[in-house]
Amino acid sequence: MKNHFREQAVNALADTELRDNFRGAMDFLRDKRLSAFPDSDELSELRTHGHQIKAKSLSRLPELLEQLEANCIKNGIQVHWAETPEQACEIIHSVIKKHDGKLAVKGKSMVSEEIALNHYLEARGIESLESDMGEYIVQLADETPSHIIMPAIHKNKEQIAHLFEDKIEDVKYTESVDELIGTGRRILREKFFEADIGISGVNFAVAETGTLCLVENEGNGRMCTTVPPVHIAITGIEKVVEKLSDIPPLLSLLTRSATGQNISTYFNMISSPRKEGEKDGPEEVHLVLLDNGRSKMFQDETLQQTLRCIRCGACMNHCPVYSRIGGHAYGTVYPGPIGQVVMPQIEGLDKQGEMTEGCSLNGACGEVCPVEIPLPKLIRKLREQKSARPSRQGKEVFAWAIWKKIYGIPFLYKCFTYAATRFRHVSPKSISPWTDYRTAPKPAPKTLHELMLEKERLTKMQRIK
Amino acid sequence: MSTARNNILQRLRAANSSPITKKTSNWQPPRLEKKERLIQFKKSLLAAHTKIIETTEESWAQELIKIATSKHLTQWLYSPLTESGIAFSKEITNQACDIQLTPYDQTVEAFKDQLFHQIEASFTEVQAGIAETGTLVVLPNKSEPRLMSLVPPVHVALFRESTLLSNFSELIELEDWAKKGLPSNALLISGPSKTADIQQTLAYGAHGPKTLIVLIIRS
Amino acid sequence: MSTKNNSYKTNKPKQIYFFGTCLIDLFYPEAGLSAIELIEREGVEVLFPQQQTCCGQPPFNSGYNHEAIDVAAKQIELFSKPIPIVVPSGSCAGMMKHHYPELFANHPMHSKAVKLSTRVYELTEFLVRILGISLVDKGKPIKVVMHTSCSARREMGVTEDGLSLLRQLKQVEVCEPERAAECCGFGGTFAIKQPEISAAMAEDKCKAIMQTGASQLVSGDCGCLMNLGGMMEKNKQFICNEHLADFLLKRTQTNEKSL
Repeated sequence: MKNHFREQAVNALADTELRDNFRGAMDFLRDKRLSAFPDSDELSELRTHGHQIKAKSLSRLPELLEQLEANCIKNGIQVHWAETPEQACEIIHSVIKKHDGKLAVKGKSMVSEEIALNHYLEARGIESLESDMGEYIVQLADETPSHIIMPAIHKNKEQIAHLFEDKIEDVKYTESVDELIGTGRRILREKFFEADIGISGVNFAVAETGTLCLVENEGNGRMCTTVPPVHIAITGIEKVVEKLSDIPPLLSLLTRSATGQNISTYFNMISSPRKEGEKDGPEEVHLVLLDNGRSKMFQDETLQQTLRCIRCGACMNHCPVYSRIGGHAYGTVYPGPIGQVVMPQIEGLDKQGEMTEGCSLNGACGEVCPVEIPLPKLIRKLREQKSARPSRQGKEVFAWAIWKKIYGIPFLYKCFTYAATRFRHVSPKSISPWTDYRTAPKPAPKTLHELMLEKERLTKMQRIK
Repeated sequence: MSTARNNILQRLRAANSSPITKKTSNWQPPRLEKKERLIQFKKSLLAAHTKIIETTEESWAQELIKIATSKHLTQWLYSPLTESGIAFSKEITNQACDIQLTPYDQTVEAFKDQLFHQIEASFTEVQAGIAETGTLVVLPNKSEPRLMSLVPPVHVALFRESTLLSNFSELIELEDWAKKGLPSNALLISGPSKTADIQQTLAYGAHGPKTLIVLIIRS
Repeated sequence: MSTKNNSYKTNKPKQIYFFGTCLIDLFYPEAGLSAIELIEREGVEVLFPQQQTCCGQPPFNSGYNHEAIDVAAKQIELFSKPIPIVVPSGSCAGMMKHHYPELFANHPMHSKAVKLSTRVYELTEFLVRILGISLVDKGKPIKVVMHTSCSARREMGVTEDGLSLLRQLKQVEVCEPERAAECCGFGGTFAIKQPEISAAMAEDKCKAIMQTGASQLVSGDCGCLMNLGGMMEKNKQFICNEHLADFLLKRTQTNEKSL
């Protein structure tokens, strides 16, 4: 089923509360990032370094995945491979079933959203509870995250206060953020305590040492990966990184680009389940490696650059479109510029082609990407692929064919512009959709071409004199 | 070997990977001179809402007792196997304070209820510090398990200035993890737990400790 | 793109090409003339090949490469002398400088496209860094708000060039609108394909412009001017708007045209 991007965008634009919420949030995150990178030379060097690290890892992707697997297994981590979301869900479900698990607590993981894990588990009688505050809020509201770092960014505190009052027993209305967080803490603590299974994503998977790295501020990630007896981590295959020494610069880029922090509160490096003599930690750790279109992305030399993404969210924070329509309007798991590049590749241009048009190619995203992904170039490339499809719009093909004739043949161009200038007083006043919001542009009395011809004639005459 | 694994690896190998970028970078992790390190370390810790108490080898245990009594924290989790854990226990006896020490000397399953519902604070050592980002390097082991620095609402960490490093890269080099492998869990802790998920407003104590106190033993 | 070498002057060329751009040709030809005069005043000869039409950006941005190549190839053949090509638009300059090599990748004209791209300058970049022009303000005090297009800012890196030219004018108070770096919503065909989002962006930009209290809007890109000027006119927000070249010339001329 096709995604109706423009329709969704229009609805979002009309929601003034949403517009205000996003404006505030985006301004906040942009300022935070700016403060975290006071030295533009350092930023430039670091971005290039990050680019190199990710590019090098990608150039060795199959070997690194094998090395990661071997080292994880050596460390006692069980490794599974899934080509599709269904396969990934099945693997995770079977691990949970093996342990007769009924309650899973989840750390924030966009990959788990990608595979719609919660719905899959719930349909099979397993409660899958989000423990990141933002994800918890979004789950309570029966919504999906609208941002990849701050899932409830589309809500203001009044809306969250009402949500808590409506959905949580014995909770009175309060706009105090401390009290709201306190409620979340209290409820989720009990769930960490009881849970059979902990599920998490992975920010970086180090091939050299078989280590899973997690970035977080709240502590729920550590709870999910340490308290329950079984920990299941899921990641996209592109997250594998060659060496441990690659991590510090990538971590610095991630936290400073995402929220303007020099480092997150917790950086959690997991290399094995509970070892002999250790007193806590999961007895079993599983790693699920998900493909879901990534190996396909890998085939195109240009689009392969998509896989450098470290999921920081800076692109969407700086996108003037995302800032106004918010994440839900995209109708996809990944919104904003990275979404416009990733989703058509995962789900196909037939379903997600329209969202590539939701971009003015202003370049703000590419400018802030910590690993120098040329996002505007990739969006344009997808438009190119879209235009080559048999299903492309007949109207647009025709329009560009006409354009080519007029602008490609100087004589035709001159006729066209002559007519436009001489008939300027009857030039259309209403050219929808342009004139829905603006006055129509009026051609000048003479073109620059004509004026330059006149100028040249005048100069020649003056020389003769 | 699974079909999925083979299919994925096969597809990856069939592609012509894009060339590694020709751009070069001169990025180096920021190095801080020894005398600058403590200043930066403290600045970053304080900015993250961590409490700092500068102390000495002789007086840190007394400072710890003071924290307990001033904050009315009587239920403490500690390690009976570390030097500092033993010293803490001794000091409590010496001062005859009303502090109940629970040793983390059995598996978590044996006392999970107590850990989650009764323990008010924990006291741990710290292996090293990272000045650049105001970070404590906590490497859980058989003596000081992982949950000590996570579950109790107050975490007090004992840090020695002599272990302060410049940056994360230096830590990795020093520990030689690439060759030796990492411990089962290695943690970089840079403040108390926090979140800004509600309208970008900072709140502390989301799921981890609400209060982090670092006792810095000066060199 | 840093503009650290803002003030260096290379050897002044004797001759340059002027690429007028299709928008200036049809809608703002006087801006083209002003730009040319600013250059000729410095003793540089300006060549204007009459067969020029468009850089090819509109179809290129929409993913219609073949159509773009067809027209761009003609411009490449036309601007064949190894002299600078000055373009009074960040967006068209960006197309020719940064996207022609990409557009003509795997094409027999690739090396010609690359060679041409090395000769392309956006107008303000040329005036500041190559000609090092010096401007004397002959006009009355005025507050002006400068809008730098996304292409000028990010692709060509010429934000400071445009602003520095305005700052040379002693009677001119220059300002930028709030969120200056955010797109005005034009984006070429974006304004037609996603008109509501485009309008929302333009509305915010117009509001920010009006809030500066400036009596004049200037920009180095006519696409943005058409977008913002058209909206402000429809909303009856009264502020003059013109191309930077027009403004600079008017302020520095000594005849009845100056303000």
